[in-house]
Amino acid sequence: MALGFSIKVRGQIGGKMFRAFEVTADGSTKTIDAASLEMTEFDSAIITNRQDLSLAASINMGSLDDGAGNTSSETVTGAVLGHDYAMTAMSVDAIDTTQTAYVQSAGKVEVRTDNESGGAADIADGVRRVKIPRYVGLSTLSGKYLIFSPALESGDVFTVWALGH
Amino acid sequence: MALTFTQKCKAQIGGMAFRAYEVESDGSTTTINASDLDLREIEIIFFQQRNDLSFATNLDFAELADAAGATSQVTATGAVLGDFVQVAASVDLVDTAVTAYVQADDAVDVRVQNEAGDTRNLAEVPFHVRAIKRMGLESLTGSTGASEGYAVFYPTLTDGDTFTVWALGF
Repeated sequence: MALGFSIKVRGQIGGKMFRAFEVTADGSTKTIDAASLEMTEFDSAIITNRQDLSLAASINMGSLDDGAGNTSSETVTGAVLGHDYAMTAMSVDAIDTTQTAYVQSAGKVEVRTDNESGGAADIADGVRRVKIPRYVGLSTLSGKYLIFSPALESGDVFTVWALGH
Repeated sequence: MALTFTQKCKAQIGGMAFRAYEVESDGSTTTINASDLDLREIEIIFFQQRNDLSFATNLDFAELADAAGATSQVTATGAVLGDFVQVAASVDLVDTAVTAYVQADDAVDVRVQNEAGDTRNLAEVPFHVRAIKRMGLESLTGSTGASEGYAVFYPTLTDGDTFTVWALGF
């Protein structure tokens, strides 16, 4: 089966059909037909994504000379190489260093700190956060179809809330 | 009170109970119980958090020699240490690396680092900064027969978080 549908609610609102379905993708399709939600045509639809991935870890990197860098590796279960974007933030001042984050391999995010500030940088101990937003994007709503971009991938789980007839 | 709930809608749809509540947190809890929403069990839920904070400020960075950088600060009322920050500028970044972070509460630093191998000079243009609030729904329990469902947030809700919950349940 290309897509798995689990109905959550089927009702009527203001003369329109209302549907909420949890959808699981296997990566072989990027379109949902109105018929899959027991309707003939969509009027409106909202997609609520599966939840972002988050991590909090302690920072203790010590002083960095000018021109030096530090890479920390964090486990973020579920992160996918080549698919996920990573963001990072700290609970302390970054004092002119650059902080970048990326998925290094499946389930692992690296955060790179580079000090090109012109002097030594000693970032205080604190908490680093990593966030990986999960995107299941609705590209086009066209009558009988919901079209997704980027294409749905295997393991994507989301909810469709739809009004139609 | 740990959480304050203001009911916006209470109805039945397709044999299920529908609820919409505005929720305000004081930072002392990470969990919303089904009973908080006048439900026994949560079947499905989503929330719309308060808008991310966006700011646009003209920044004028001086010419940067190779391997030099510069930092400018943007007032970002409401941003707190730990918020994620995105930055965009309406001009070619000419091979420089532009990053941004919350430097202190209500202040975002925009860092331009030139490692291009030559001198670079960014034109003065608006820089758009977005502080992304950290609130997230970690897990939802209750759709598998638990006696009382609940939604768990991670990172922990913080004092002042305000958002709307839409829930279907029983």
